[in-house]
Amino acid sequence: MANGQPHLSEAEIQGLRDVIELSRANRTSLLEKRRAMVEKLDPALLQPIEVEEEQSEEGIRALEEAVDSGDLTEYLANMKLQTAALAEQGLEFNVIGQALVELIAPVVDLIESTYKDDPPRVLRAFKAIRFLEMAFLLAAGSAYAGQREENLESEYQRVIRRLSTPVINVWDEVLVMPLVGVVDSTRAQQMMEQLLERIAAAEARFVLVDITGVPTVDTAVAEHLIKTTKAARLVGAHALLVGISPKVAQTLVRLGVSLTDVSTFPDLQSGLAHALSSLGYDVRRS
Amino acid sequence: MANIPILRLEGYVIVSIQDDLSDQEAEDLQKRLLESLAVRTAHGVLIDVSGLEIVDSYFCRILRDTAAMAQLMGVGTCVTGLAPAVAVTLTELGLDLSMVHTEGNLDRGLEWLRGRD
Amino acid sequence: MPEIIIATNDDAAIVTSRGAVRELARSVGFGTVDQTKLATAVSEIVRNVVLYAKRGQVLFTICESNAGTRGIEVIIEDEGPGIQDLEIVLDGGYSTSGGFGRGISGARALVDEFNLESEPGQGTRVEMRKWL
Repeated sequence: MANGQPHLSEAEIQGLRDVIELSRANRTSLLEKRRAMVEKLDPALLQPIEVEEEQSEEGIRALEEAVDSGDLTEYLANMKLQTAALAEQGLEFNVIGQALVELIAPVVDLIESTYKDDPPRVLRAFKAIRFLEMAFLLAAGSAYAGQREENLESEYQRVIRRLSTPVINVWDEVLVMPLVGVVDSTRAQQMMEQLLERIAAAEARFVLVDITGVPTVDTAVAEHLIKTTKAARLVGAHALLVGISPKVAQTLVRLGVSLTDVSTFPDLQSGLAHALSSLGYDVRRS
Repeated sequence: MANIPILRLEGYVIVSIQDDLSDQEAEDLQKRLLESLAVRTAHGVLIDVSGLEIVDSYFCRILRDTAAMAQLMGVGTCVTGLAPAVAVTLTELGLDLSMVHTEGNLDRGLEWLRGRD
Repeated sequence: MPEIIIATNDDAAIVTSRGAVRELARSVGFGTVDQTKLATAVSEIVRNVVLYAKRGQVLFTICESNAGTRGIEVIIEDEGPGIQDLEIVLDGGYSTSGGFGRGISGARALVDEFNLESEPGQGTRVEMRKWL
């Protein structure tokens, strides 16, 4: 799914279902936030509340149907049409990106607060929302590509940058920072600063940096990841690098990058299990 | 700034640095700290730097050396409360503090030292 | 324009300089991390002056780039012995003061622009800029 494949695994379906359920249960407050956001963007775009209610319900229903069928092809194709319509209205790509950031933030907060006691569920739902973000951006990206090829790349990068450094508190003293997209120096810098602030604020002992969504890791990126783990240690947290795909592992070894000082795990689940058992939790199915 | 108190609590030596120190003041502190370990043995040393806004290569070396010297005297050291901005800067500077144990706050530092006994 | 004169062996100048530049950076609107980086870079360079030069001075100014971005410029000059092996020093592999040998190269990594001119026997001039 992370690669944009429309067929879903069981865990991904579960995650999307949680997102759907949360969006339904909190429809009124989410809609209020959305209206506030649209009004700030351009009051002329604001539609009567009944229309917006209808639209948001329809959006949720469409996603639900896609999830039920286990095949997102049609849903993604629709998304492309919708973003193309936005592009025609003359909305800038970065404006749409900003709107997406603001729409998603309250949902992420809901995921965190609602499933606070169930880290695997938080992660699952979080991955689902991240998938939706990326799908939307990819759709919007290709819709806009025809229109304004020259500055698309940089705007796309800027939006991705803002989007993808949330830090979630999955458990007491455990943080997860999922990285998505291209990691360049500027972003790596912001990411490190943001992460350290959060570690200090949450008094975290473990932080899992998930690079599943990072397509390529070169020497520079690896260097940044090593720096981040060192800096995390200075403020009292163990940083674990998780989600190293076979391809990334191959690249790192061929480049001669040594990650011996960094604890690595193949996926988020095993990293989380390690963190929790180090903190003295008994991690097993009851 | 002349005299930073060197406290003893339940056998642990605790120093809390609240203000920017000159090189000379930092060196004096290191000396007094080690002397206090010689007078009476301790279970561990806690150096809290949560009040410090800047740690440059010189002060970093003082921390590293102090920990190494205390270790030679058989006492473990934990540095606590490095500010996030300081941690980022040290890392960008390429300074290596990996031989010194660090924790987020005094509580954690004490917990770590107790775990070593 | 704040200006600090450094006298020989005056290690209070290190504390004064880094405190002053941090204060200026704060007032210009730099975030905590950038304030800390700039102040630490100044600390490293001024220490070099205190340790090796006869006398020197530090100048801070608020500047503006061609693109209109605001920033801080720091110029640190001394009349000291100058630096013999500039390249080694800038690579960070060299230290005569028992430090980590990272003073100058480290400072360079902490700012956006870094210029060092040195004439053996004449002195050293370091220019650093950091943009908002």
